[in-house]
Amino acid sequence: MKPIVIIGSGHAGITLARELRVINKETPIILITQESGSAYYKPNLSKAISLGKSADDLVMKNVETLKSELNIFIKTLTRVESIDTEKNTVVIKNRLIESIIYKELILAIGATPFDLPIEGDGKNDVVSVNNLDDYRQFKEKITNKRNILIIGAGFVGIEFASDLFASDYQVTVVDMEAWPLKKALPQQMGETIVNSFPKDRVDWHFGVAVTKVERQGNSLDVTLSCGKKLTVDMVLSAVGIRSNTCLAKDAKIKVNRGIVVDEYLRTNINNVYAIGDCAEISGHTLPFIAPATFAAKALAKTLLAEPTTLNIPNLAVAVKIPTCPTVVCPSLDLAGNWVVEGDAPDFIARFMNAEKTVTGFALTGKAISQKMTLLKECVTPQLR
Amino acid sequence: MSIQYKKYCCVTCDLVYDEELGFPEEGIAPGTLFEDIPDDWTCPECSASKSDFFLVE
Repeated sequence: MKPIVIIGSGHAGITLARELRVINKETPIILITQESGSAYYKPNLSKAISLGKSADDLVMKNVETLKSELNIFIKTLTRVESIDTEKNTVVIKNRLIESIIYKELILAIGATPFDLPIEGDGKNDVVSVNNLDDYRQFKEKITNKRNILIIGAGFVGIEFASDLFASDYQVTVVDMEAWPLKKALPQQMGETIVNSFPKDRVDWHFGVAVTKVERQGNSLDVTLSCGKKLTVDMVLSAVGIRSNTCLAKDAKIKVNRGIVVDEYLRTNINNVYAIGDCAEISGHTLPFIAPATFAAKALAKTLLAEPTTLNIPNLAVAVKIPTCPTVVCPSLDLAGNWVVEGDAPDFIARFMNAEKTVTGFALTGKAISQKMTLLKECVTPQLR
Repeated sequence: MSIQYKKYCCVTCDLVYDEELGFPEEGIAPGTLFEDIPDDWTCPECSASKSDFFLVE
């Protein structure tokens, strides 16, 4: 019997394996991963330093436990070299090169941090934390450091800023936009978040980019686009991720920003599907944990029961900033205006489209208690 | 007689639901038994299903 083959052991791949097993205990499943295959919760990576956690502490289930609990084969530290969609095979390379035949193939190959256009001999010293091994190296490197510069004040950057100042690091944040989390909340809220951080511990540079990083002994000299120079011990990039699409593209699977799938998570090639950070549906890539969970559940049903479309309800995401509790529900509709009520630091902001419909919202301070009310006000996103 | 409250853990993100504490911010009052939470309820951290929670021994 030909197996279902999943590429990727991130949240999407492992959740799919688990959901498949909920429906069918026997069908053969092979999961192929470049990583160690252990299950961890990726959002924890940006808040683990202050908790004193090692990479191993963040492992929720090691690979042997996963194999036995889920009754699946997991090929770890294994690269997929290519996909042959006519022969229904994937070519993998571990110590040897071998070919695996699939009944259905699911790409859950995630996303990679953006490569920044930075000059200087310190460019390769810029780190990013996108998986457990990255965190392992980051934790080791940061131990004897003090001044950390973070590029990007989005979800990951702002959580790291919060986590690192709370761990006694001196933090500098640089972002091209005028306030943090610009895509997810209005200016007043961004300023509220900035003001909640202690001024003597976190230094902010908005509206500028990092243009150059140069080595200077054990330090790094950072040049900003405004001409300003800063000397720090370490540079962490948190500027966002782009879907991994090369493997799919080389196999003539349709890609755009992500691997293009329909509402059944099907690519344009028979028996090949994509879920998680690598997938694009109706022009949207869907980051965050929850959409991947919904996609895994829908796809498991499609593969082993009846065809099931992906429907994602409105989802509110808590941003882990202890100094300023923040909850956001980003709008898929990019055209619209923020309507803000309340006084700092307790704001309710509704994102309204041209028809005055609420398509997203953000809450700070005490207003986060309004989450359930706002979720009900918000229209359900349409992915078709 | 005191009720023996139980704790349930989310398989995805490790969040613990403690029946004694509830999740007041999610509209679930302290003392709400796990079995009395609606089936369409999802994990407030990661949106996993109610069925993805397991009993913590």
